[in-house]
Amino acid sequence: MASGQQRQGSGNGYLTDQESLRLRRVSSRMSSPIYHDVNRSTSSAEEDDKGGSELNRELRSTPWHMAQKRTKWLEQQKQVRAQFSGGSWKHKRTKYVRQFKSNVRELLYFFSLWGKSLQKIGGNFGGGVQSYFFFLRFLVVLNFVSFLLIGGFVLIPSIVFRSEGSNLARNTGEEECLKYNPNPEGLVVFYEFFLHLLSGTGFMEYSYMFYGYYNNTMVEDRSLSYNIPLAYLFTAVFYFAFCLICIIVRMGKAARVAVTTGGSDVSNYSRIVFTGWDYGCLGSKATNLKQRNIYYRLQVDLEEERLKMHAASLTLCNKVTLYSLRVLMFFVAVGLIVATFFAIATATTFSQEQNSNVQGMLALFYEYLPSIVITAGNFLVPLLCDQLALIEKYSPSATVVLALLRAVILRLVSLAILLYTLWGQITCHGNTYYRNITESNTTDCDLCQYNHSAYPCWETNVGQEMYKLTLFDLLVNIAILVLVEFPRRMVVDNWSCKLSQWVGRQEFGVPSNVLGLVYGQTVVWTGALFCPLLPLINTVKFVIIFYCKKITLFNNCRPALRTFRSTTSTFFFLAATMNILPKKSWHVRNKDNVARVRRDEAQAAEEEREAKRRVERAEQEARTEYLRRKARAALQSAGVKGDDDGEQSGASLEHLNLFPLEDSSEKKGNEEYLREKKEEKEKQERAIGLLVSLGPQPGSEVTPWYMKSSAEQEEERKEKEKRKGISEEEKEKKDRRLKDSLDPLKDMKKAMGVYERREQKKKEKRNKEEKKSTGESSIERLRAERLQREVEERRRAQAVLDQRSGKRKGAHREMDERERPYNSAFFPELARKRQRRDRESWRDEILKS
Amino acid sequence: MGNKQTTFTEEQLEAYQDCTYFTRKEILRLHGRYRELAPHLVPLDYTNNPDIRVPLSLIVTMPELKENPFKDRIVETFSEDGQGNMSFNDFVDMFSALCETSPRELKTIYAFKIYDYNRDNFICKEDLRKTLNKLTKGELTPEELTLVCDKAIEEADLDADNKLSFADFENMISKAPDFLSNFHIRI
Repeated sequence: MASGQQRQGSGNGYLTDQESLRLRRVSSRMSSPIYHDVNRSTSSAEEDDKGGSELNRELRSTPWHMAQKRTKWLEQQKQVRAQFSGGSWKHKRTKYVRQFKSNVRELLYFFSLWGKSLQKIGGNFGGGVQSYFFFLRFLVVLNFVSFLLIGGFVLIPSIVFRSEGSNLARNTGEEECLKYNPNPEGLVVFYEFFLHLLSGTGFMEYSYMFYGYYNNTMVEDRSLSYNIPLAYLFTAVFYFAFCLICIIVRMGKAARVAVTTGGSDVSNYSRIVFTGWDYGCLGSKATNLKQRNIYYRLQVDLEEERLKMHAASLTLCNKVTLYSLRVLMFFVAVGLIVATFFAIATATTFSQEQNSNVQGMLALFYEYLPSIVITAGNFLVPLLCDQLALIEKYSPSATVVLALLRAVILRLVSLAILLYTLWGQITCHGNTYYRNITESNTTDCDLCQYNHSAYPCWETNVGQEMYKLTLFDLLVNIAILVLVEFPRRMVVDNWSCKLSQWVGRQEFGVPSNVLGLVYGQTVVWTGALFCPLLPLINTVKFVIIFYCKKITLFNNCRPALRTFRSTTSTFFFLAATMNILPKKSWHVRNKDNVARVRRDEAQAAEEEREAKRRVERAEQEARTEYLRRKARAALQSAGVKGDDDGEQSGASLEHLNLFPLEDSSEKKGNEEYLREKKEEKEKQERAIGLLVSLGPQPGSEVTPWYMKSSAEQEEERKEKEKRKGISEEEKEKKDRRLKDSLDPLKDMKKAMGVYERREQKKKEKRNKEEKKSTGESSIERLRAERLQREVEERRRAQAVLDQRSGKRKGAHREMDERERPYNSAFFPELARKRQRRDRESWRDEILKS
Repeated sequence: MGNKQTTFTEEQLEAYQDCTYFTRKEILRLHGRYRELAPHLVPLDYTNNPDIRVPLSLIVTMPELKENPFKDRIVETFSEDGQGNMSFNDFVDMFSALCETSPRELKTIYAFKIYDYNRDNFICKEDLRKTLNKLTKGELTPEELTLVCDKAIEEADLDADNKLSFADFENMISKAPDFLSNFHIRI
């Protein structure tokens, strides 16, 4: 008992993940009896039986109500007091440790970077976006710590020893190769300062920023010996190791979750249903979008199933076409990526060659040419690849993974291409050795194994390139915020034309943004050896980016419509983006979803108005009817001839309509025209890929057989039969008509009819010539008939309409779950009570009547 | 806060701390939030454990719950009387179970209770249908709804009784990585 108590005390701290995982096996056995204590009074006896084992469980993690927990707690406290007789030091210690822990936690929370902002972001935009910012914070801290490392071991000693002016270490290598004096001479124009700052040349080049500035200083005293080159090397190695460890630790967390949860895609629907809802969502907009998002995910799954079904039923010819198309598109995509690489290589070569010839702004442009080409390529190629994806027709999840894979390859390999080209330039394309043998004339690279005349310190050059890439990335980020995202939002918000509606507000695409961060970090890792201050620059850069992204997130973005399913490709992300995110969201522009919400709201309002109008009209009709009857009764009592009046009032119900046919036909034609127009528009949108419907194609809107349950099929069969039954009358009619048509008597009649008609025409002509008195009466009769028919038809149509609308209304009403009686199995007394109440009310009604 | 007037005794605070995942400060803050809902009803002084219940209609006006489609179910589940009238104890309980540090199994139990609309200790198709309707605002067509319900039950149902028992539910949840981060109200 005592040992159990002790364990309970030490376990009082906050549960870590591992602990909870370890506990799970035990608790899953135990939680089922606990769960069943919906009526808790019975279970408390059981709990007492368990006694000691139950004490091990955290009181706070038991699913009891607070009152129960507190009584239990009081009991425990009494036991504790009895056991330790007036508070032993162990009990006190555990208590203090716990308090200390909670204090530390609060303090850490207070000091943790951007804790409040992150919480706010998570609350407003969900976990996916929040994880991006968590990653950003991680990178900031990582970069800052690595800067401290480098600063402490290399930078500060270097500064100190330089000021002291200590001896140089022994040189190895040829004298010529060690010449390096990049300091600018003479006066410089004032704007050159900025140019140098941006391109890392001039005064920047020979500073602590770059490799070339660090001397081969070695301090050897009696007490201390410090070798700067060695320190430099070791710090760099340690820096990489440190980053690797940090990432592995971070990755391990995600991987552990992935492994323990299986990370499989087996239970997909149930997972969406039960764990899809983010309880942390705040705000109606976010909730709306989240609901839409879940709807969309379910639809995607259904669609994927449908596609699979469709793919299985494809003919060979179709398959061949599809696969050949996919292969073709694959090559097109590869071609695009390779073209980008080629462009990067060319730009790098060109800029390296041109760089010494020009001055001023043009030089800056040439300096930045590789960065510009890389950024442009990374922007354009994914856009084109998205277009290719429309043709490829992969399943939605495969499309997303493919797009991400292409983007990752593009980003990281373009960096590699840049380095490779640079390396080629530095080492004269790597053929120094051959040239030495085959040709007698010496080249630039012969002396020092690299192009010394063009690159007096090639390490600094590489560092400069990385510095420029980092800086350019930051500038592009800020420029996009100021020049693209803010104007876009203003245009979309204030200018409601079709184009701006189509463009819509920006969505925060987590994967692409994470990719940007990974790219930036890779640049820093590449350049850290040659530009020791790069981690510091990157820290500042990421801090700025954090605020930029936060501003743009809250001002310009809307929450994601489409969430990317991360679990399907957890291990893909492990490789690609180090699996920093427990989950990611992926956004594809989907305007019609937003439009649909709006449309549905409008429709609901319209329906309401319609219902109101109908009620008003019904009231009005009832009133007129009542008044009319009253008036008629008054008239009849007055003894006025009622018959004529009745007829007149019947006729006056219908006001004179000169063109009844035209009127109705116009209306109908308009409707048809509208529908045609809509179809045409839809078709066009579908063709250009703007509209991608998830359901079946229009025109084939019948639900496929596999979606029907057996009950529905039964129903449909019945309906068919009914329809057949209805058509039986028609069939008879048709039959009779057929028989009539086959009757020889008809021919005779027809012949007679022709003859008669001819006769009649003649007569008519004759009559017309004489007078036009007889025709008018027949026209009048026809009109009366027609009017009557029309009235009849209208009445019938109205009846059908009323019936339908009434029916729909009834279907919408749903019983509130709280109205329902309690399940009698667990709350018999409550259920009975309700029933009794119902009965009583019923009896009351009877009594009243 | 404590200087002006004591809201809780030391012992009460300690009990709350041991029974929930909150610190002392957070409990006081929660009391403030609770009191905000019905200032005329809830006293500042809680030292003698007054038996006061705030009705469901007031609880769901909290911004943390307002937009949640399951707000009524959450409040009903955590209230002791099952009708949604919450005492402060229930209130603290609710946010403790839904906070970040509470373990998976506790959350699973409460999630199961929330999704079990008719309280028969099984999640049947009717429960699922309601959940789905709330999740998608009734956008799914009846056929789709039926299909999704069938699929979801088929996936998670281990004993093939066409409804989910708690064991099925727990097994399914244990495979869902997003559950912990999603079943979480930040207060």
